Amino acid sequence: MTVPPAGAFPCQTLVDLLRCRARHQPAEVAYVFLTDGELEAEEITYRQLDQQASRIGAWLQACEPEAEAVGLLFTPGLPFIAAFFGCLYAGVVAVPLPTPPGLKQLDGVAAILEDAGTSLVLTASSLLERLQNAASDCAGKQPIRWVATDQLGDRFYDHLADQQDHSWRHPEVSGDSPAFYQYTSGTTQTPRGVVVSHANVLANEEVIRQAFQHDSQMIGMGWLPHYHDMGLIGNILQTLYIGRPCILMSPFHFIQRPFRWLKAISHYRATSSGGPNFAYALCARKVSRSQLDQLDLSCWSLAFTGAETVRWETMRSFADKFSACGFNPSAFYPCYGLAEATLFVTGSNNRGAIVVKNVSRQGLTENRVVLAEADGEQSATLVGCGREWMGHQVLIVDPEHRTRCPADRVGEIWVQGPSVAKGYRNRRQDSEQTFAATLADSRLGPFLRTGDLGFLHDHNLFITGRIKEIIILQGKTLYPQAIEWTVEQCSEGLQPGGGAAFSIDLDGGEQVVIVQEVERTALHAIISSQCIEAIRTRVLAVHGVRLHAVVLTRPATIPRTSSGKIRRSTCRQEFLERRLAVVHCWTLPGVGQVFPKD
Amino acid sequence: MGTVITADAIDTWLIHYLADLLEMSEETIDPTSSFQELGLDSSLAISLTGDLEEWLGRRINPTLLYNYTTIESLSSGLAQEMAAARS
Repeated sequence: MTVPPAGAFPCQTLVDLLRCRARHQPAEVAYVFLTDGELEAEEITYRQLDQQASRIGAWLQACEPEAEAVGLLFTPGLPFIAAFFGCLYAGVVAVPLPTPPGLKQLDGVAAILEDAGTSLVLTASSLLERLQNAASDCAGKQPIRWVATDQLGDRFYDHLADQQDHSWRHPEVSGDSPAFYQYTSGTTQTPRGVVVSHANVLANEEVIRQAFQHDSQMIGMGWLPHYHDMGLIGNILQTLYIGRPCILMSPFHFIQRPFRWLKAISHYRATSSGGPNFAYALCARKVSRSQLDQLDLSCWSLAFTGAETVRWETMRSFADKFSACGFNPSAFYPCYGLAEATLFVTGSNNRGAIVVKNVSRQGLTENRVVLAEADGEQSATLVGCGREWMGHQVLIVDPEHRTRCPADRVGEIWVQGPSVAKGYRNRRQDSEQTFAATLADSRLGPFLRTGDLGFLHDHNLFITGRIKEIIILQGKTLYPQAIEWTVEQCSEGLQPGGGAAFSIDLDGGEQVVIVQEVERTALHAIISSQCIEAIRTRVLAVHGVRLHAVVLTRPATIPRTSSGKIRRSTCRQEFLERRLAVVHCWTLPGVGQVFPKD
Repeated sequence: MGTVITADAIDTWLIHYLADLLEMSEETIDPTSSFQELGLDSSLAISLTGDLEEWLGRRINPTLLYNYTTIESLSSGLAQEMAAARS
């Protein structure tokens, strides 16, 4: 049976989309979830998904007619997808919630619910008891009301005292209606919910379809969490948009045994799958030679890499290892995006041609792009993340003056187009500053200010860092990554990728602080004073910076996002509040000490 | 699987595994310290369960170390779970 192409129906909303699929290919499998990450699988067809969404939607319409938004707290699996569409079918905004490990610490969830303006959460009956227990420890203002979607039947009949018809009614929603709030992990504690409309999603899914060259033979595969933009929009909704199946598994099963991801691709002959850089690095490290014999990755034609810095070294080591089982290195597809633009912003239109540039770090301190020889200390190796697609525009803009940068200058990445969301939930000022920027000279706008720094070279976007994290010292732009890299090299026993460089405001001006994790293996052997001395000397020599403080911390204690990115702003906060797990701390004597010398 | 895995056996395995991972001597590993104090981040904690699976020849909940946060509690907790599964 031929699959109707994505553009064949007048779909204004995600509700239309699923209804179309259910009508035209009802018995086809929409999703396969690998319950044990390996052999056991649950399937759901388009018709079944539509039925479950209608049931949940009908319940919301009958029993929660005042609800504007509803939280969704599920472990990975098919019930989340049904509940997500249940919300959309009721015309209610879906709010996917992160699943706290062990279902214990619910403060983060409570904060999101408060921001989203709801206390109603759909979940599964198997999670109810633990969630109710955890919620009682929670410092939320509103008590959370948990409703299990697999127990709706009982509640429905309890609520129905009258004879009215409570079957599902198509909601009054249009393309502009909000579909869901995407809460970003971000680098600070306060949750920000991007308001994503149906039109935003459909526009972005079409862009992804074209950029990834997804066709009627496509088979998707993913393990990304459903509460992350890449998991929801890149895996789950993309295949629905195409009308092709997606194989899903839990991110925990992936981390537990990274081989499972590749095995699933091989077994189901998936054509399109991907993740952040760390996932490829993990596979390159942990998959054994004997496991390679079980894989045939020749089907994998699109290996997207995004959501965190794409590293050339990682792609190379992954390709080196897995070309032995048919992985084609030209499948790699670096891309760039952010939740504020739904998901995808740039990707190559020339598949298989990865562009790598080495640029002088010295040049970057002056916001200039100067090509250089590869040299870890003196140059940064950057991977091109492609160009914008149909109907979208990407500009490089001076963040201070709001004027377009000349070619080969580093500036802030600005985006315009139908994927760009309307704003943040409940944050008028923040939204105006971020989503409604205009160029100072031409008054062109509105643009989304991404807060990311980068440059364009031959229509290829290269990302250099985040504005909020760069350190401006005596007119020079210092990238924390560059200083952190220097620090790591200073001594044995310092955790690679486990450091944060940031600046603090002291009466003298901006001062630079280093927080660095000590490696697990070195915790008992490291000579802190020597190590700190080496760090201070080297950072001064290479970057010309006199450090204000150096803090060595216990392993695995630096604040990170759920995907492992260092939270520099949070680290800075913890430093100021003295909440770091200090092994040894040194501060510059005599200069407005932030806390007393050891 | 013929042999019964006791809490002691799991304990020994964990200490050996962590000594190897952390490059420490087994005597210096405190079975009452939390895994976090020993230096395991969430990724390593989940990976550990993957290696446990391989040793025990059975599936282990990847978030096990969120429920049992020390070597001591993990050994006795897991041994109990396995005993319960057999009966």
